[in-house]
Amino acid sequence: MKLPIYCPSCEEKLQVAKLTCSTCGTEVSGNYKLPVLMLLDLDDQEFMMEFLLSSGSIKEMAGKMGKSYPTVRNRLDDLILKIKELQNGK
Amino acid sequence: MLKNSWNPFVHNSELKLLVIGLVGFVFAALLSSYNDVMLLGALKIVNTKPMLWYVSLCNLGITLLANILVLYLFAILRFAKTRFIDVVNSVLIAHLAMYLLLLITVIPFVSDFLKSMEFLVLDHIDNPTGISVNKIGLMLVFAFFSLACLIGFFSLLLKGMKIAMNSKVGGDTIAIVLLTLVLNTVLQFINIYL
Repeated sequence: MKLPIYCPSCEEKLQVAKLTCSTCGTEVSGNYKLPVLMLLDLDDQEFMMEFLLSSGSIKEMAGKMGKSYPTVRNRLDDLILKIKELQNGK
Repeated sequence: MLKNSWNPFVHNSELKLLVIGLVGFVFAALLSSYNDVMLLGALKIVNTKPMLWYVSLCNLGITLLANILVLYLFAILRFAKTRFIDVVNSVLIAHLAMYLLLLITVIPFVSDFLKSMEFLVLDHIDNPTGISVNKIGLMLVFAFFSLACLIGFFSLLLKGMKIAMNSKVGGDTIAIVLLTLVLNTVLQFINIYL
């Protein structure tokens, strides 16, 4: 299930307000910001995970995805740019 | 499959593209030698005196190398991470469209027709109405085919180059087209071919 990161009403970024322990039911309330990686699209998050599991090898990623090396490198560059923008709060 | 053939630079490895490009290059050089035609620059086909296969290979190699070096220089200035192999593949694969033009000139009917048209046009240069409608019709067919090959050439070149240099800027498209046009016109004028 996709984690919503933007408010469906005003389109502002959402924050975590409550965390629950699935074993004992303890609830923690607060006002936590989502980590930058969680703010990425699901596709981008999966790409990041796959990249990590490939030991950061673009060549290995290209083989797994069935795409060319520059196509994967460009996607990674675009993702880096996106993360930098999110870090800067744009 | 259609998407794959439309943008081969996304789904194919650099090795596969390189092999296809090199096979096309050798095939085109042999065609050129066999049929006494050559690519003068990347965009113009001319009739020549008979050439040995290795002379054709050298001449086509000069055109490809000039295009590769100039486009790589441009790409590296725009995007420092550009790899040489990606520019090589872009140029080699784009030229496949131009090799189609070389291929149809091997057909005797086409070859004879094109030669006869050269003389016909020269003879009737002051009186174009003297050219028969049938001949004009065939001229139009070849003109459209040539145009389609040119569009295919630039389309493939741009797709390959834009992926190689991770470009999303329209200005790069114009720059690559202009650079290619200027370079290949210069190649025709300085004529460094053997």
